[in-house]
Amino acid sequence: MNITYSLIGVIGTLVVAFIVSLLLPGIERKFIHARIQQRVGPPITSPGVMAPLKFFFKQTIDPNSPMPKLYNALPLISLIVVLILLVILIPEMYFLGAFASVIAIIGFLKVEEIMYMFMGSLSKSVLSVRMPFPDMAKGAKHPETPRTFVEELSALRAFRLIAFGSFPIYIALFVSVAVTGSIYLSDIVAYQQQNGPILFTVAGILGAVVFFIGYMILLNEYPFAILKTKADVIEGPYLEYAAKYRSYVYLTRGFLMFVLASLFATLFLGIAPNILNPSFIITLVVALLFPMLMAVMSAFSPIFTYKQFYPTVAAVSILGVLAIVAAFL
Amino acid sequence: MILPIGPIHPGLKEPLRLKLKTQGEKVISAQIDYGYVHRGIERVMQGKTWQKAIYLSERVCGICSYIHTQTFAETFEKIAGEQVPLRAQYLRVLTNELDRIQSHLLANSTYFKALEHETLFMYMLALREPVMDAIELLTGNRVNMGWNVVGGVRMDAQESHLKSIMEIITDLEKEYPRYVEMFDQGPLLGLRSKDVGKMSREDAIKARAVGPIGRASGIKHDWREDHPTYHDHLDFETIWRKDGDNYARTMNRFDEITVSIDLIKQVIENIPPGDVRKKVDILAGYADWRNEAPRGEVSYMIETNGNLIQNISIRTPSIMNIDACAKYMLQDVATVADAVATYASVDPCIACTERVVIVDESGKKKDVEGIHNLELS
Repeated sequence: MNITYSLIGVIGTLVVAFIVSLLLPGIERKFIHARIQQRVGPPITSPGVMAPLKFFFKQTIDPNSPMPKLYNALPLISLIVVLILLVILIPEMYFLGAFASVIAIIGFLKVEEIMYMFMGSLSKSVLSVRMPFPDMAKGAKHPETPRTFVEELSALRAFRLIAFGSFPIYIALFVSVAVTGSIYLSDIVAYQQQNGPILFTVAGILGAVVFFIGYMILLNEYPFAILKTKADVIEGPYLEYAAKYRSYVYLTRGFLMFVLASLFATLFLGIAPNILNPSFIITLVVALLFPMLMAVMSAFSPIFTYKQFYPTVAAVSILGVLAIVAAFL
Repeated sequence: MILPIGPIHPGLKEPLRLKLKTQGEKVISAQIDYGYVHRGIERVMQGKTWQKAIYLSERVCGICSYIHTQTFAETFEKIAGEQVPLRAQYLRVLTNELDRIQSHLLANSTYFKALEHETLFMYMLALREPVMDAIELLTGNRVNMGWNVVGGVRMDAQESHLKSIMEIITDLEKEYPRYVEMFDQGPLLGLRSKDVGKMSREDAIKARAVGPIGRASGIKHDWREDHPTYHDHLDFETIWRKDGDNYARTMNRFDEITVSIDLIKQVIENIPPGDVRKKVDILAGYADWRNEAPRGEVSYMIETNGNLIQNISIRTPSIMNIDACAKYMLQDVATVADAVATYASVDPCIACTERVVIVDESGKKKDVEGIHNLELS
């Protein structure tokens, strides 16, 4: 009975999470971006449901990549990593011990980030390949000058983001560790059920702000979308994905939005995602609220270059450190 | 490393190749390659009457098409030694300024798109729509208006049209400062625009930068100052700045919209009654004429035998401004994203530019491939 109950809990949560995550990009674009920009916007199901569905039935085109199979596999790997992240947040999976801990979450998030670097470095898009440089059509003007690709630039940016861009969210994760004194999710949830949500403490408020900025950076949302700037690297790591592989990219992003919101609810509100628990409604509210807030911020921001990115991350990281200090006081 | 951007790239409105010499993310220098568009408009104009050629002149540029027909017509009027009726002159100013507003709004929206500020990009386009409606109301078309003829304008404007245009302009005047403030006061947009893509006054003179681009670097000159209608009948102030960065170029265009709104109001309030067209006898001869297009100086040099065009040369502003961008603005730019934004801030128009005439001093014949090897820096 217990195993059946747990299975229903895990599978049910995954299914509901998946359905909600399909609608999140549509909510972000239809209700926030379009309203702010005084336009009608796409149907709510268009970005998250219909677009991935459409791409599943498109013809697959081999990417221009030195390792096309690995390149095509990366979005699926990302989706699996995000799926695992949600699974370990569900209380029924806390028996996994160290796998259901903040350290494991950081590890999985890091894997998800590294994927962008692989994607960027493995993509040699048509935009650069078909117009070789030195320019054969117009005469070689730069002999012995190495050529680079726009995706390689995005890989370079992904590398920088791995190095410093994810500081805020990791620091925010450790706020709950500092408050509860444990890295295990089970302990963090249990502590908050006894003592109330961490969010309603000084450390929690500061941590929530830092978490939210980290959430935006991890989702590569404006103004932190330098990885896939349309003005220069176009879509960066995603540029060469076609058909079902592009569909995986869309699904992963929507799912990551839900998973990160669930992570926030778990660490700062003590509400782990579980369909069988009535408080799951709060997880859904957080999952809706985060993209909406993010959309408002992104609608009024230009993209940050590193000149703006570094000081922002530094300032937010300092705020995160203050939150940890406040947790010990 | 060399990072090629274009000729087909979402950051570029029209085909052109930016070759950015990069060191990591930093852009050390840049080269710009032309030659992806071949139209030969001037060659097609040769041997045609003005009635046929004026339609071609309108198609030199898809954004600021109006000023080309006006300059074309005024060049012929100069050859004939005629001046068009005052009402026609006022109507030309009215259309020219409406066209300038829509062009500047489009240019700034493109710049905001390059900064990836999608909201301000949308707002600019939303502001532009009523102006396009006003142009349609006045001339019957939105882009290729067919409004100018040698000797005046094609048809008169009704009072109701002028009243509607006044309403549109008054609404624009009310709404518009809010969006300017979003750019001017917005700290994030300021961070992306100030001190980026700087060009000094000396460099702007060397590159022969014109229009809002040259004026943003301290060259206080606007060809409207020398135009008889503006000079004799309208109050007009030249907008200029000294900073020479992306911010100055964008703000120059914003402020010029304010000047255009003021000019349109003056025109509608003071437009005299009378004819809008007079018969002009075209004489054989040569003349040149300059006007201030939204992007800067546009000049026409025409030689006619009194019936057909024998020679015509058109110089559009973008060629100088793109050159200035490659040589001076795209030096030591912090990131590739800033380089693309700087390029967008120049408001380049490749359709205008791609009519370069190469004068070969050695006397050897230049073929089409020879044009491909042309480099600007």
